[in-house]
Amino acid sequence: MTNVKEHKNITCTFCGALCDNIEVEVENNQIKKLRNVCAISRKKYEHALEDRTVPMINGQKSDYQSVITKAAEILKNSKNPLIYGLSSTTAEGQKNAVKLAELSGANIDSTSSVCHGPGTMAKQLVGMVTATLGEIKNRSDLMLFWGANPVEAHPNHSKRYSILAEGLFKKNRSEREIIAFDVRKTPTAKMADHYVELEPGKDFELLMALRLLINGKELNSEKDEIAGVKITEIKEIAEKLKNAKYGSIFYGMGLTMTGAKYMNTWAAMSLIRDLNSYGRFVMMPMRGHGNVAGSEITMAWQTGYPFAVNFSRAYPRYNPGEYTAVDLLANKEVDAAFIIASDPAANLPHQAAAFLKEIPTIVLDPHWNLTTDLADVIIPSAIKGITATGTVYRMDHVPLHLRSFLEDQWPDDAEAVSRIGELIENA
Amino acid sequence: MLKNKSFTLITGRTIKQGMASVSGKKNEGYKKETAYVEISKEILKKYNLEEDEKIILESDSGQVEVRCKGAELSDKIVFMPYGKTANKLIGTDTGGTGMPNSKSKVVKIKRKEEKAN
Repeated sequence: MTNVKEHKNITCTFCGALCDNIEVEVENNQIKKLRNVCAISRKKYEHALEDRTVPMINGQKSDYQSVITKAAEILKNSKNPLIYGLSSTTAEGQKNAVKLAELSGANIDSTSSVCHGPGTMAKQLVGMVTATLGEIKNRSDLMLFWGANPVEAHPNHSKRYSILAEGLFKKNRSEREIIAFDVRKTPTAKMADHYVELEPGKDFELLMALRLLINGKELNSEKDEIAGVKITEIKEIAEKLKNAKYGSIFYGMGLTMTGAKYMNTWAAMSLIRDLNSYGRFVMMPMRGHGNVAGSEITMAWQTGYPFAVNFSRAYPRYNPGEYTAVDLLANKEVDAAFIIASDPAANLPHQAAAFLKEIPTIVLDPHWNLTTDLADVIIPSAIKGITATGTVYRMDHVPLHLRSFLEDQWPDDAEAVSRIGELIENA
Repeated sequence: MLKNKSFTLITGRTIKQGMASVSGKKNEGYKKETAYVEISKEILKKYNLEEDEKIILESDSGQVEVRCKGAELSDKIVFMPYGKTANKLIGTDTGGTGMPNSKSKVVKIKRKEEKAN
């Protein structure tokens, strides 16, 4: 007798859009049908139960309790460990990781530092006017995508929340004007009404030029252009921004990863402040990993700081550039690493990730990845939103509760981290 | 001369890279979808580079051998999907922010086999 069960309103945890309308049909602990998934989400669910990690120590199969004990031993004996990752685990796992960092005097950093971290630093300088995705969907008549390509990174974002979304007051695509700013004509830029191609690394100049115009100043340029954009075009854009009733900017790593880094987002956030003298204008980072927004929220709630936190003095200290993962690894300042739900061997600069081979490295992850190849200790875990429950935060900071719909043999991240902490605390 | 021309390396997401990243990081698909470079079609033509030709991309942090694809790009930039291959070129300078130069690294293109031009 078959036992088919349908699950509705499941939340996909791949990206920060956290689509919570996924429908899954399950039979004998296997996914049989999926609805409302994007191309990436479909692959994620189809692959969920494949390539699962098992407990390993120094390349040998072990058992769950032994890998937990070994991880506690490594962190306890370390003088300056790094706890890194966190953006693909739950808020509960993140909270326990902060406690573990405090217990072990560790540095704790999330993938935010190589993602939207610079934008968060700008927020600390100037603040950010923002809104929920629902409010933007319902009201925004002018949407800007700046250095962001959600069509490829957040495939259902345009349909659910932005370009193509059916809003309460802005009902369809024809009621919104879309402008894309980028250095290449991405699939998102191709959906826009206007594509503004910038010279690479000149976002700050263009943002400041717009600020000058918004504030009634004149622009001067010998070449009659700024950042590769004609002055006449910049003036037209400034007028559109001033005339919007409810404008919104979705920004991506085109702002955070280029030369001026946090000053780019500072300029964009300052522009938004200026524009609120005319109409309502909000902005939002296009958060990549499913709970990377949650990593900053939980870390700030627990320590006062969003990422790049050091507990070596038993109280939290914050310093991007010093306590951030790339800097700690590249400068060879840490003597052990605990990687939680992340793959730095794939995603960090090679010279930084390579240092993980030289220090005891623990990986907590449901799946094999490039970092598990470097790890001394591998702790398997349940898969959030599929075999594990928990809390995640959408890119607009709306918390969502995850339900599980498949069974798993491994505990979740939160429990694994908690068990390691208890061993250190009670040693 | 191609060897004298510099480009800004833009790394970023593609839909296929995203699909491959959740289908097993150790699978061939992920490697394939993160180990190529997109270059302006005009640059390919100007410097006699062929579609799918293997070239060497070099920065002051490292070099990689990748296949090139023609794309609608400015002649100032080249694009690589985010991943292990691109990260060999990025380097670890974060300018005190924690963020490496993932969309601002200067790279040069070297031919795998010497040809005219």
